[in-house]
Amino acid sequence: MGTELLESMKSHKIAWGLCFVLLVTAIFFPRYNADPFPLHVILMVFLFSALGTSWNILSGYAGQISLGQSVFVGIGGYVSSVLYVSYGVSPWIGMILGMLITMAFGWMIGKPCFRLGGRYFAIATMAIVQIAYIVVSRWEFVGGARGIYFPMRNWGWVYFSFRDKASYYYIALGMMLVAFAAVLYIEKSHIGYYLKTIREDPDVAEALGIDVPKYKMISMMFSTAIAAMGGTFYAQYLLFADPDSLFMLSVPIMLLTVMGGTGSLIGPLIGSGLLIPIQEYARVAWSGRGQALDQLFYGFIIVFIVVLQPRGIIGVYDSIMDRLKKSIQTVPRG
Amino acid sequence: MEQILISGLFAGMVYGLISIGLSIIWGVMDMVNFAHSDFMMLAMYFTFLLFSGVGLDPLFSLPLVITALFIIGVLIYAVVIRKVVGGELVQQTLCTFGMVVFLQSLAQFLWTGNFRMITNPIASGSVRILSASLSRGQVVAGLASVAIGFAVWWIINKTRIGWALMATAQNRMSAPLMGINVNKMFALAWGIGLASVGAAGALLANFYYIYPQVGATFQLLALVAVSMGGFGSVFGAMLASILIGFIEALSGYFIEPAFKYVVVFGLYLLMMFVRPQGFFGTHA
Repeated sequence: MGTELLESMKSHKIAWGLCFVLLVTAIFFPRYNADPFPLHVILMVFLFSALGTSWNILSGYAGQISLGQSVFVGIGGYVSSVLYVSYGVSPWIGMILGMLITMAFGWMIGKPCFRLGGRYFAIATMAIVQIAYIVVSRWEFVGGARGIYFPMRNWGWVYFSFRDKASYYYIALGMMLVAFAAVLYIEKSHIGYYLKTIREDPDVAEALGIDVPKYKMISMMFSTAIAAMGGTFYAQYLLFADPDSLFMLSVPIMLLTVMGGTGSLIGPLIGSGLLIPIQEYARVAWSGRGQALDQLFYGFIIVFIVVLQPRGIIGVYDSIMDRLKKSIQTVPRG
Repeated sequence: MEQILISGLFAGMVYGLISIGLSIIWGVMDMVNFAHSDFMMLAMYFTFLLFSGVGLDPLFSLPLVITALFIIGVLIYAVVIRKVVGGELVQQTLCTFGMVVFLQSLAQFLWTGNFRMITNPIASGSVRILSASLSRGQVVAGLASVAIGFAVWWIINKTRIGWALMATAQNRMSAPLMGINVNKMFALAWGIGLASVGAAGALLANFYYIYPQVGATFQLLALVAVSMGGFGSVFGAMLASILIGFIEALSGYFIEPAFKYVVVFGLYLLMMFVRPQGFFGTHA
């Protein structure tokens, strides 16, 4: 895998160079910026591109459309929050446990659904997020509809709670990089090729001898772990966990990934880099008045993109590059 | 007890009419319309606007709403769905799911998020059936749903155009060889599908609150009903819906009203383990 990565780095020199510059900029940005608001916006971009990536692995790569990705975010966030607030367990340990529990939950959903066609999986995820929302809202042990509020006395790395945004910023950046590393690993190993085959045609994949349910499950494990990790971060960042903030993220997660480009590494980053700043600045500017209008616009964009360019902005970029290359190649010959 | 069963039955009948439309689109085109009950929400608002604007009773606006939704169905097919029919599952699912976001926020934008209700329609007051007391709106909605459901069943099973629809459902490659215009059949499936869910919306508007997210619960109930009844089966969709109506009413009574959907969706997930093809479906 290492050599392959090296080769792909050589062949995409400019792209990797750009990534490096961006990363260095991202690392040094908080040092030269004292204003908390841009930090907030950028860390939300990081968080949502990690969450988008978790959806992308399951839905973009393996083609198993999850319409309730936030159920995994919610379980991860709730496990660490309950352990932290009720039992004083460090959120970092809670995060690991949350990831494991969410993976087990994902396994339970995937086991029956992955034998069936993709649409049954989509319906099941839609049903599960509803069940989870109702159960959590009614379950007093996890705070019910009010949610869990963190005591604001413990600060620092052990408690995953900070007064400054810069620490959250670096954690979110790290999480996004972890998510990208997972995708890179999948793309460069045989798993990626298997998943793409499964997405394009499950019957063909089966005929080629790919253990289809097993590879769907592998993508499920990656996806749930990343989503749960993001859930813990989000709860720690907000300093509370309630059903509305943790179980209602499915649509934005899906939307930004579709917009950026499903089935590609940087699709979620492009999508969240575009949508999250618009959303955050719009919220400050209109304080909720534009809510319906921007949702209206988002819904239109999803349908529009899916119909015209299913691979999102990445797809548009690729087709432009293809055309450019063709025109360059044809000129000297002609 | 009688009260619970009878109100479950009548609720189930309306779910049935919603599910039938979903089942037809699913069966004929092999495609799940995730925005199905959001079109119902649209129909409910149409009914409400006709009532508050012109004073037309929901029972009289029913044919108007059905016609409007039929036209919307054909248009949506022609403009959007036609482009994704041959596409990947991801594309189809996201396309109709995008419509959910679009339709709900459209309603929010145009008519705000306030709960609306039609006050004193003709079908108001209560009716006694055996020892149970139901609102007249609910009874009218249930009976009309079964009647309209039967009409749809008749169109599909007894008319030439219905046979053409079924032929398209069975094999869209060989249907054109029999002189069937597949494109027209798909448009018709969307038309009939949305017309029947529109009828359900107009009937529900008699006694149900109207708000932008009203479709969410119905959507899941209908999806569950269709997966249980087997896609493409009008009869199966109706029967499964009535069953869901019973389960919902019973679990609301014996456990807690808030948990009735947990029970319904939980049972659905359980059923996927056991019989994924549904009661009347032949394959998954």
